[in-house]
Amino acid sequence: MTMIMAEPAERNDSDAPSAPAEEMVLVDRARGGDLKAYDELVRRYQERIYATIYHMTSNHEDANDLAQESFVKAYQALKSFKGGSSFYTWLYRIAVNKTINFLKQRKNRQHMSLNDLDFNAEHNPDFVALISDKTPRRDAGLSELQEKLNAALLKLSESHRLAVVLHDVQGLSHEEIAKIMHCNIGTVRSRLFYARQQLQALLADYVKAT
Amino acid sequence: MSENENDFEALRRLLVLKRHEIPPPGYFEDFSSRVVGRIRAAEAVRELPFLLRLLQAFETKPAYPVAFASALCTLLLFGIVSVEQSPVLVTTPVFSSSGDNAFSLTPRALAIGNSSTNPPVDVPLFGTQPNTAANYQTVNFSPDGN
Repeated sequence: MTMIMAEPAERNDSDAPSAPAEEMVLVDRARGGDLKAYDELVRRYQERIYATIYHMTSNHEDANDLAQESFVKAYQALKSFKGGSSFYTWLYRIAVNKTINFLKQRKNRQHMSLNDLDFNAEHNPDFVALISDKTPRRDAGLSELQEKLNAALLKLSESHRLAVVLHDVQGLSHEEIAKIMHCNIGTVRSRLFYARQQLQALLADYVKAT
Repeated sequence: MSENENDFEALRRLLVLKRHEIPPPGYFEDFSSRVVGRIRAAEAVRELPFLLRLLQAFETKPAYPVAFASALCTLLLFGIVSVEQSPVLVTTPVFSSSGDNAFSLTPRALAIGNSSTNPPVDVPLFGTQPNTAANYQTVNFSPDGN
C-alpha cells in the first residue's frame, strides 16, 4: 500500500505535533533562511495538508497547486509566526484559508478530478458489503460510490465540509479543529452535526445499506 | 453527543472511503523539492530590478499586459480628447516701443504665443505697450505753404 492519508491511528510519534522543541528548532532555522530545515518541515506535513485540501476540493490538480502555495506562503510568513500555537496548527490555518478563498472564487465551476482508491479499499468489509449483491445498489462499483460521496461533500458549505473532513476523514479532535477554524468547540460540534445530517440525507441509499 | 455519534456510525464508516483516495504513485517523493523550488524562484524574482519584475509578471500572467495596454489606450484617448476640447490659443500682437510703429512681436511675446501650455491671456509687458502719446507728430497746415 502506498499510503492511507491522515488516519489518526496510523500517525507515528515523530510525525505528530508532539515534538514542539525539535520543531521550533526547525522553524527557527527556516526563519533564518535555511531551506533544508524548511524542506524537513514540508516533508512532515505534506501528506496531511495535501489530503485536507484534496478532500475539500475533490480535485487533485487544485489540491496540488494549493498545497504548494500554502507551503510557499507559510515560508514567506514565517517571520510573523510567534509560536502562540503549534507550527502544525498555524500551517493548517494557512492552508484552510487559502482553500476556502479558492472555493469561493470557484463556486460556479466545480469540477472533480478524483484520485484513485488504493488497493485496501476493495478489501474493506464495509465497502464490500455496500457493493455486494445484497445491497439495493449492487450496480454501484467503488468508484461510483466514491463519486457520489465526493459530490455530496461538495454540496455542503465550506465550513461544514471542513468540519467533516477534519474530523471524520482526517481524524482531528474537536479541540484541534476549533483552533484551526478559529471558533469554539461548541461551534465545531454543531457544524459537524448539521454536516452529517445533510450528508446522511444526500447519501441515504448507501448509508442504509452499510 | 454519543447518541448522535451512534446515529451517524454508518455515515462515518462510509466516509472512511475518502481515506483510501491516494494521489498518483511517487507524488510525495519530490513534493518538498517542488515547494523549495517555488520559494527560490519567488526570492529570485524579488531580487530583480523593477522593470525586469514587470516584464516577468507580463510573461507569467497574460492579464497584466492586457490591463497595461488598456490603461495606455485610455490615457491616449483621454489626451486626444482633452487637447481637442481645449480653447485655441490666439497670439496677441504686441507693439514694439523701438523703431517704427509697425506691428512687431518681441521675443517674449513670441515665447508666449508659441507655448501651448500658457493660457491665452494678454500679459501686460512693461515697456512694450504702444506709446500713443510719444509716437505722433503735430502737423500744422497752412494754405500758404509755411
